[in-house]
Amino acid sequence: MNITQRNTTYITLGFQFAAMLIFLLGRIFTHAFDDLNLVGTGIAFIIYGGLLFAFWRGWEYARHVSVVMMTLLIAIILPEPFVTIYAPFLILLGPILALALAEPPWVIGSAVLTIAILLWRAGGEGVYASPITLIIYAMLITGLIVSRLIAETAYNQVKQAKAQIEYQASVLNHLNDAVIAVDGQFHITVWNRAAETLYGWTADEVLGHVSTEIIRSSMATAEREKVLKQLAEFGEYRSELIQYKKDGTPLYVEANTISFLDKARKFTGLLSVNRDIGERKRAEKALEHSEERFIKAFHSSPVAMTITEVKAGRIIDVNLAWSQLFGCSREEALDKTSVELGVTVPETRQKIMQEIETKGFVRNIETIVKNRDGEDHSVLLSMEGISINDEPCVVTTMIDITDRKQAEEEVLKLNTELEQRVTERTGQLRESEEKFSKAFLASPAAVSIASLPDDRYINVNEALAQLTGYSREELIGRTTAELKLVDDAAREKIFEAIRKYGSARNVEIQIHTKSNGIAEVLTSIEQIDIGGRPCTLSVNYEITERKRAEAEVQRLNDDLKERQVALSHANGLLQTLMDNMPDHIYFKDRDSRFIQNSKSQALMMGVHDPSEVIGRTDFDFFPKDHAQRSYNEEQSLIKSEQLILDIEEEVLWPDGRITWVSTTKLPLRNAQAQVTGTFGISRDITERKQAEKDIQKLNEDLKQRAAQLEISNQELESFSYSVSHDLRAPLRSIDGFSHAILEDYGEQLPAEARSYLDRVRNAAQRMAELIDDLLNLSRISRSTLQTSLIDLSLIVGEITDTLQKSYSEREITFSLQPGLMVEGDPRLLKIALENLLNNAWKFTSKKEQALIEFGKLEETEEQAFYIRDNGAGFNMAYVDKLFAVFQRLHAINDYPGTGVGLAIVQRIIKIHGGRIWAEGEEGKGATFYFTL
Amino acid sequence: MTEKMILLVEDNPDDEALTLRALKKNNISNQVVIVRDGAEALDFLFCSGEYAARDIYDLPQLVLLDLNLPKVDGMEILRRIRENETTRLLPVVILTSSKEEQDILMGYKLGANSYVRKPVDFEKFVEAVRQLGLYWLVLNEGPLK
Repeated sequence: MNITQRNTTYITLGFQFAAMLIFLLGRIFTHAFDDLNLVGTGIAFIIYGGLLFAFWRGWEYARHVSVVMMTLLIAIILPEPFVTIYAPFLILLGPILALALAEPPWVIGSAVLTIAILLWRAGGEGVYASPITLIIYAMLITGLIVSRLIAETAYNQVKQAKAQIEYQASVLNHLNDAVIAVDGQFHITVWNRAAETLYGWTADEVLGHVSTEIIRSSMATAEREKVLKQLAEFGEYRSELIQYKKDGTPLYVEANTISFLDKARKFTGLLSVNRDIGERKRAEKALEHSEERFIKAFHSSPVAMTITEVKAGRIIDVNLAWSQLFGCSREEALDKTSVELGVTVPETRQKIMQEIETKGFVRNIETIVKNRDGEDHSVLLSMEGISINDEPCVVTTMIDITDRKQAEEEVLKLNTELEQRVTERTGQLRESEEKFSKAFLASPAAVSIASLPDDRYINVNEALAQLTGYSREELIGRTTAELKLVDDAAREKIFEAIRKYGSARNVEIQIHTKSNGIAEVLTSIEQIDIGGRPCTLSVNYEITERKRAEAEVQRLNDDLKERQVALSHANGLLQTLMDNMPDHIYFKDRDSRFIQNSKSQALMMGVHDPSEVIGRTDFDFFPKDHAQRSYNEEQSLIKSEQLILDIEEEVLWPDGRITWVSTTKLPLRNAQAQVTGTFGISRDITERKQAEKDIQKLNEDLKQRAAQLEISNQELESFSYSVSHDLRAPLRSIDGFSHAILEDYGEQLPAEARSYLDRVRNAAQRMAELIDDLLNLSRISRSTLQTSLIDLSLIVGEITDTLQKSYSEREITFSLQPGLMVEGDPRLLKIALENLLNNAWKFTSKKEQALIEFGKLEETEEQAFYIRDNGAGFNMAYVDKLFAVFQRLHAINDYPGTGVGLAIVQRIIKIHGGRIWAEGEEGKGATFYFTL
Repeated sequence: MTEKMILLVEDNPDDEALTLRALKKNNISNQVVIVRDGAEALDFLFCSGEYAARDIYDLPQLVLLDLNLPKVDGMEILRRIRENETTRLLPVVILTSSKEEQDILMGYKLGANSYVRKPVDFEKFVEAVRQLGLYWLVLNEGPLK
């Protein structure tokens, strides 16, 4: 199915769909919905029916069936009276479908069926009874059929024309010549397959393009004009010219062009049939060349040549050598016969002509010819029959052998004499020579006879040929120097021996073979005399293999020596290691027998010389269970390669010593990687073990102490607890009841008694303070550090603010260095700073202009802070007592206090890992420094 | 029992005398019931032992509780008071010699309403008692009526 048919089919289905739609709309507008189901079924029936046929019988069949079904459906389902209401619908749809789709039989068939149904339905009377209606309907149907037939005819014509064109195109494409047509404007209209192949352009690329743009040729424009003119005149033109392919390759083309002219003899196009004649052109050229060559060869040949036609025997051509030989110029000779020229002896001519007639050629016949001066010349004559322009001819060549002939005759004469002499001598020699010759040739030793002094081979045997790689023929007649068989030096050496002693025996020389190899040869040479000429007889045995074997043995020996040296070196290293290594090293065979031991181990085993241990086992030296364990380990190591790595064990040595060792055992392998035994290294780790034990003991001690410390800390805590409770209760009683006495009976007591009771109360209260301070101190000692980054300056500021608020009547200058940051426990440091500042406050209480400073020392490496006052100060002699508990450097009445404050400060600084010290001078002030 | 009874839990007779003296000096005339060990304190509060006949709902206005006590210590008494539904809301002031941090924390953790340390100086003690009386017996509106 081509594209047009497919489109037609789509249109058919589309129309069917549209028709149903129109039909439906018509029903909707006439409010007749009652048989809508029937309509739906009809649509589906047509669509699916069409598709079914399409698959079953192909589209061609399907659309025909669809048209018939369509028509039938319309005819059956339309309500009555339908011609009047739906006539436009029928008139539109029917023709279009029929024209577009169906073939005549189908149209006629469907039309007949429709009429039949109409008539059947008209049986129910109505409008169909009217003859006019029927006539109109019949006319419609007839119109359809006629239009369809016309369309069909037109379609067939087009189809035929197309087939014709396709046929022509197919013919064109099967031509071997390029067929190219152009229109009046030289646009290409035909470009067959051969043209594609010839020019390399495809039809798609060239059709519609101007031909001269596509096919470039060697033709000049002027020439082209001329061609066109000729075409116009004669209607055709034939030419050979060079054109170019798409890729620029030149082509020899023979072009046959015909022109088309209209009635007014106006040019309307060209048709050109072009053939590639490159092959022909080349053949022609080649022929021309060979002819030329032949002529040159003919004339310049040193051999006298003639070409003669056979029938009349006339000479067609002669060459220069012929002219010279016969003393006759070419011009004289042409068109004459050899007889006319008088250059042939008639009987020889007869003989030759007979031969050439029977065989067709003559080869090297010796014959006599005469030149124009009447001199006889002996020539070697050859003839060959050829055909020139279908005429049988003969080429004759003649080589002048007159001089040679004379010489030969003389030589022949001498030879005959010589031969006689030789025959006699030969008879004598033959017997011995035969023997010698056989022995010579068959000898497995390479034997040669060479002349002296040039050392040219007179004869050699096959063995020498094999040895040297040259054939006997190549060797005989050539010197060893020419063949470069032997180095000059070697040859000289041999010849010197021959000169001195007449022979050389078993000299080793190297022979360079034909294939550039070297054969080692043992040669013996004897000077002999052959036919009075000094010669050499040399016998050579090849010893290349022997030499090679010797060299190999030498190499192996050297190798072995090297290895022995290396081995003894390695052994030396191993021995040094074994003698000096503090660790115990031992090698054992597969049965766990010692092979070698380090000296250190041998000594421990109670043996002075390690070799005494060889062949013995652990069972000879160690307790049975130890030896058995060791044996088991080694056997499983050998069998399953269960490696022993750093196993720590206790060893009881023969002398009763006990040590700890760390042992590693590995398989011992030979060069083939087979396990031949085991080896082990044991390191004495007794000291480490001892150290570990010590550490463990220390650890345990430490734990004990820590536990004790814990206990004493707990005790201290409960002690402090009871102190705070139980020590204070009596004090309260003392103070309370003293107060009760003073209050209740004060008036009855003398003044002194009241003063005593006051002292009792003071003492009780002071003791309470001391207890509180002591508890504070102990609490601080027990506290753990909880550090963070804190601003000391800020804390100092807070404390001095509080002090100033509580004692606003005092005039004090505070000097604070701001932003001093430190890592520490904020709660503890605040307590320490409070104590220091309280002290400064207290001891400046008698100054009018009190000054308290807080800052950081600049020039120290570690961060050192200080609190300085200009108060009472202290005597540096007592500086040691400053930080001791309950130590006071001032009278309690001057400056109250328990003497615990600085002890607390020192404790806090120490907990931080810092230190505290003080400087002072009585009456001038004190400075407390601390680091953290 | 008319109103505003104070329960003093105190084993030391000296302290008992001094406390009563301080109350008297501050003109606090409420009835003061004295129990001398922890077990007796529990008997009184939960009406067992020799106090079995007591009305369990006749609760004191304020409990002054020492910590170091024979038999059952102060913390245990406090725990039992707070555990029991009847006495759960009873105001308890710990009055003791200790100012150990752990005691103070534990006291408050178990629900003490105040923690007061007995000063050695009797005049200060009188002042402390005065303030306690003023606050807990006069100013403070207790949960129990």
